[in-house]
Amino acid sequence: MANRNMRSNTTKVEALIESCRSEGKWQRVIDLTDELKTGSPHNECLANFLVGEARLESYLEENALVAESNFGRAKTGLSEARRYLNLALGESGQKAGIALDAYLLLAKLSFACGEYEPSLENFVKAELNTLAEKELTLRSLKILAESYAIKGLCLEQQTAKPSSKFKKAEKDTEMISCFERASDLGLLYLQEYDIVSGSSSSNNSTAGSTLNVNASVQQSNSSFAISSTIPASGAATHEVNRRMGAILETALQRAPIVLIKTGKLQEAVERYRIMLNAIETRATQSLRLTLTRQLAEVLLRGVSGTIYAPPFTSKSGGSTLRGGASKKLWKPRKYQARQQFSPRNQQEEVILLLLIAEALAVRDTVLSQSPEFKQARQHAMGNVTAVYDLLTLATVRWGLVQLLNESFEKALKFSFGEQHVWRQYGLSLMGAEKHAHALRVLQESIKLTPSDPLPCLLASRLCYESLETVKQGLDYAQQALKREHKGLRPSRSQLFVGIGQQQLAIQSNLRSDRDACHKLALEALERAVQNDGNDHLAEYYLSLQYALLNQLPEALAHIRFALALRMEHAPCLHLFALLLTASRRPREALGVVEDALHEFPDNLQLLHVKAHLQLHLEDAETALATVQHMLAVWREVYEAQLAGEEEKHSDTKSGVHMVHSSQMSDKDSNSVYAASLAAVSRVEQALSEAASSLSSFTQRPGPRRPWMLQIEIWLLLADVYLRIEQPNEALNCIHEASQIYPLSHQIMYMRGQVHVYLEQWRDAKQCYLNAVAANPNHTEALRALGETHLILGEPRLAEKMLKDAAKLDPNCPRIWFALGKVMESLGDFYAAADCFATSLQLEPSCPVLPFTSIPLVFE
Amino acid sequence: MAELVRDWLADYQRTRGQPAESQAFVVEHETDPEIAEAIFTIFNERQRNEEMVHDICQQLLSFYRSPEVTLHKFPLQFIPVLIYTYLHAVSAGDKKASRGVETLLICIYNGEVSTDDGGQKVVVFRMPILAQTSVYHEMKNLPLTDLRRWEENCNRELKWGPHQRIETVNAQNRMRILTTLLFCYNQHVSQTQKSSLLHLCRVTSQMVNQGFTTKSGHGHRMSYGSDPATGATFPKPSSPRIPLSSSFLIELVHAIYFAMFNGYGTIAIQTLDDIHNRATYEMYTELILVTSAVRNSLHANPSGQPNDGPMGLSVALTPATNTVTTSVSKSMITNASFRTKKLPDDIPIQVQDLTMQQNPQQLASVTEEAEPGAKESPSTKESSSTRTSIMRPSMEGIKAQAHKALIAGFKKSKDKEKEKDKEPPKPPQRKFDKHTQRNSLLQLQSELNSNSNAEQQPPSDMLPMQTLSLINENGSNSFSIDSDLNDGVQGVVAGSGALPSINSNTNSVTSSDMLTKSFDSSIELAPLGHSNSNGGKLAEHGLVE
Repeated sequence: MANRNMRSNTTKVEALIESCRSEGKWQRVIDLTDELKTGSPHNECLANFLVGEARLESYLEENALVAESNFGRAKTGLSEARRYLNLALGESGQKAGIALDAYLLLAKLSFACGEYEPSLENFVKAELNTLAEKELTLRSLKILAESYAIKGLCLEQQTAKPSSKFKKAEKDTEMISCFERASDLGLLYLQEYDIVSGSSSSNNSTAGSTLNVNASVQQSNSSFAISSTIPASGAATHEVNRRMGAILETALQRAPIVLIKTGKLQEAVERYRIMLNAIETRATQSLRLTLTRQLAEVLLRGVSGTIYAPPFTSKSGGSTLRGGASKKLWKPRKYQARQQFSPRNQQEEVILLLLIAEALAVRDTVLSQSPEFKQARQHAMGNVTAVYDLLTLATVRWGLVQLLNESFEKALKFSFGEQHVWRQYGLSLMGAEKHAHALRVLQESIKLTPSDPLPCLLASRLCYESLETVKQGLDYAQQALKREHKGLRPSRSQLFVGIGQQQLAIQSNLRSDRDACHKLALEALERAVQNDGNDHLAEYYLSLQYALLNQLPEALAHIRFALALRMEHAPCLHLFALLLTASRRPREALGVVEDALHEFPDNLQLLHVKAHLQLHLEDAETALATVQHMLAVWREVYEAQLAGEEEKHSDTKSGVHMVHSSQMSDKDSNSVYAASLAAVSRVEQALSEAASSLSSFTQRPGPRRPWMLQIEIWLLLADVYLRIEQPNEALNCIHEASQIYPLSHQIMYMRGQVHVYLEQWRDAKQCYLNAVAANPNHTEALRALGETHLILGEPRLAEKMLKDAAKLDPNCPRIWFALGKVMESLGDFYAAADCFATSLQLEPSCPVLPFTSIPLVFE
Repeated sequence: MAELVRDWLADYQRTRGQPAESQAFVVEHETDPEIAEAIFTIFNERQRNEEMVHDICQQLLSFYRSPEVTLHKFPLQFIPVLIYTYLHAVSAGDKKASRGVETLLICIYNGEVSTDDGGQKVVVFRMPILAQTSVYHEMKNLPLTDLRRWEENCNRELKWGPHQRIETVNAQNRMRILTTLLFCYNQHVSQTQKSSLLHLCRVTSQMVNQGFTTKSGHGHRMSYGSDPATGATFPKPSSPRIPLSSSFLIELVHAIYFAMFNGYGTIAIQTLDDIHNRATYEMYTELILVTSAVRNSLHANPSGQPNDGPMGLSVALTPATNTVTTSVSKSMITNASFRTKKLPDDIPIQVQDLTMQQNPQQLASVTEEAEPGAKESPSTKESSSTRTSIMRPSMEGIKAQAHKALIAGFKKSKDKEKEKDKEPPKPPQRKFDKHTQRNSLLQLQSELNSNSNAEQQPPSDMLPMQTLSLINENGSNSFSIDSDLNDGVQGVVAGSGALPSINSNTNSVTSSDMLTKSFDSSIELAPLGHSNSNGGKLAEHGLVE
């Protein structure tokens, strides 16, 4: 080769020329060649070669070889270079050992002119296929790498169809081996280049060494530092690109694609892995990003679990460790460390690749917002969102939303105004159940997409479901409704407006407010049903609305519609059962609940209704069995969860919301009362915390709700025991409940019930007073307190309590009945008669449990 | 079609007893692509062929139980179609008709969640972390933030399964079972016939769209007038919506994604849109996350379209040379401009000896500065020039001194620089580090601030303390140095032009004493930082002026 020859005549000029060649300083080469010629005229041939090479390369640097339209211009622009190179070919060229290089460069020249066939002929003349592996100088390495790349590209571009299938396969194989060699040699060249330039430019090490973190570690202890290379980075990338060149970059990326095209998926994957396993260089930064992403894409798009083979298992691990230095001169050096993470299955590899890609892509993102960087910013943004999208696809399936939302959190730094990233961030926060944070992000998302109702709806749902800010949720729902111009399914916004109004109505204590909200809710829900006649959820809420308004026939009609639309919907069945009890058909209701439980065996809500129905039907023994079953279900569903195991595949996840969780005043619950009771909840929580700090009481570990559910079950059990006249058992149950959470008003109320049963009126009164103190809106406690007052001979106090209760819940016949008795004892018989009449009127339409005991549902 | 399937059914029945013939059947079956197609057709027209659907299910079941691998795998490609058939029947309340399909699905489920020796199958994988080197990366070339971020995931394992075998399907476990089945389908999807992907897309669209009409639903809606008590007059809607869970649809998206890049781009994209619409309708957050990710990756994105090449892959050349001219990119701030350094484990005690004496003066100059800086956008050059012009009159006198100090300091620093690598850090220097650390904490409050301050810091540690104290002794106002520097250095470091204004921003936001002090230190560092990193240039500049 040329270099050996040149090395033998180690004149100063030649060494200089060689270094200029490897650094790509072509103008300087031309200047130096003149010197060379004048110095020793017998070097004519070498000089011709060098001039030809320099002209070719500098032309290609200025004119990218992409479009076919450039071919004509290239022919004229390169004619000079061609002449020189042809001159170098002759007899003397052979002797000087530069003919090979000249042929290779001529092939490159032909390729640049779009002449694929002549290019291939040049390769044949150069005997490219028979070259032996040996050590090469930088420049030769590059020429050779490019030559293989060009040959591969020419073969791919070749228009002539191969005559037979066999020929085609042969050609494909040759093309593939060309690309593979090109990529190996290309990477090796870049690695060598880094070593050479690294040693020469170590004095001004800061220049262009954006990656060289090691060098800068000792510089400072501060947390952030703008690297001193910013000014140089532009020039650096330019430099880097020149070093690699479009031909090599194309070949490196083309190799696996060609393999996939010819149906060799495994080989393609393997090729990607080899390229990624090579030690990275400064020039391969962006290439690595592309390759990591593409390999992840291939694994996600084309390789399903069963045909996946982990990397570097087919060949022995030893060869990886030994590296290419000893035997394979033309292979790039590989990463080698003692405890390398090597993926064992598809998920590991995909996620690893995407994490690397993310780190690489994020580093290049542009923070400057000024308009001149717009293009660069968008390009970097495109790269990074592509990685995020793949990461989303790969991780959500495994419930790794948490990981995703950390990524997006980092992305915010460079995602000003990027609606996609903001929305994804909001969604991932919702998925990770960080509700308040999610709402904040959604607010930004709402701003960024002014015509899309979806973020508004999501925000609205968050407010209703998790944050208990119904008013705010209603605002979002109305905003969503405004945005629905030609939305695909406008009924959702309408439905959410309806739900919001309904909740407001339930929460408000003022009669006028309540009536107004009920009216609006009814209108909104009617419209929602009209908009989308197939929506079971709209029908369900409409039915519930009628039930709340005590219009039971309409409610029944609509719940039947809802059930016709979706037969297996637990809340619908629940409401249906309650409606049946309100129509004096408790046995049918029990039948419905039992059928429903057949489909939803672990649904605690339905079990709760069942137990209450059994109590209602005076069948306390079976109720006892039901409640015991509830305890077993609780254990099965929650024990693992509380032990810290996240039970992702549990299908009862959505069925956990317990009846009466409303009155549990649990902040996390999906209760309809919870919002109005949030303050109470806080009081109770504070009380509990105080208790835990004062006494030996310790709060149970884990989230609160499962424990609250358990209390609920214990209290129900206590109720059942009272019915079968076992007050001691009931007290035991209450004791169990208070072990979990001592200061719940529910427990206090239940304790009062036991005292009433035992006719310990003073104690009962005290308990009820405690309960009412903890939760002034607890109507049952108010009623029971009223009744106790009456028995204790304090009718005026009783009247006050019962009137308060009646104000809060005017549809409860028991309150009116108690009030009637009070009025009777006060001698106000007209009022008493009115009360009894009201009670009688209400009694037939009173459900076993209040309609509001069904938790909110959105599915 | 029906004929073909009938033959197929009969053939298998006939060969069952005889090993030789069944072997032949297996071979023939493997090479026959048409039979699967015929079965798909039968399922599509199942109303007309109810009896045959039942037979097919039975035969598929015996295939699934067969020891022959090809026969065993054969039924898996029908999973989506079977699921749709089943769900359609269930949603229409016609469970009896779907018994055969249900049995088949339960059997496949029980088979797929078990290992060959009867245990429970579990797919486990380790969560990769960047903090550990891998075959694809070395730690030193990645930003430290990324490395540390993933440390917490270390040794974390993720599992699929174990799943309990089941006997019956009810509303509660239905979606979970079907999700698991789809997961198994996805594991095998690249081995199924390509044509089955087409059916997958079609069936998925039907599944998610059923019951959603583009018109309003009044067409097949019954009137409200009927008597609710009897319940007799409630005709069912022709096809009610099929309840689908979020995780089930996520698995479907994975299957569709595969189809999209394996020959069925157009139809798969349509199907994906259908799933996305359903997702937004049901408001399944995680599903929306996935569908919008895939949809976003399909337009205007380097990930590539399905038609771009095999699997949407294409050669993506670095555009830097064509688009970004070097002059522009000079002042561009990228994420790489930030470097994260390890913070100390606890916040060190503030050392005050260096900056205390100067405080009042500093504070005055800073508050003066705050106004113009705060109003203007931080990275424009105008802001810096305005600032300097404001500064000039008041600072003119001190400037000269400052220059001397700067040059003197620079000379000394030059000398020191040679030794800096060998020398262990000196005690006073360490004190100073603490200042910068404090600073860095404050910078966390605002990104841009940290950006600007940060640039000035790293070199500071390398500087000998003499430089600093020299400036302090001179009593020069460090701000004048800074603004002055801007004039000179702007050409060199364009991006840093506006830095002082940002600094003053920090101050105007919170003017606590502590903040001011740390601010001081960062200001003082400014000239030194430049002098180090751009040593030569700065010296020139100083001489010229």
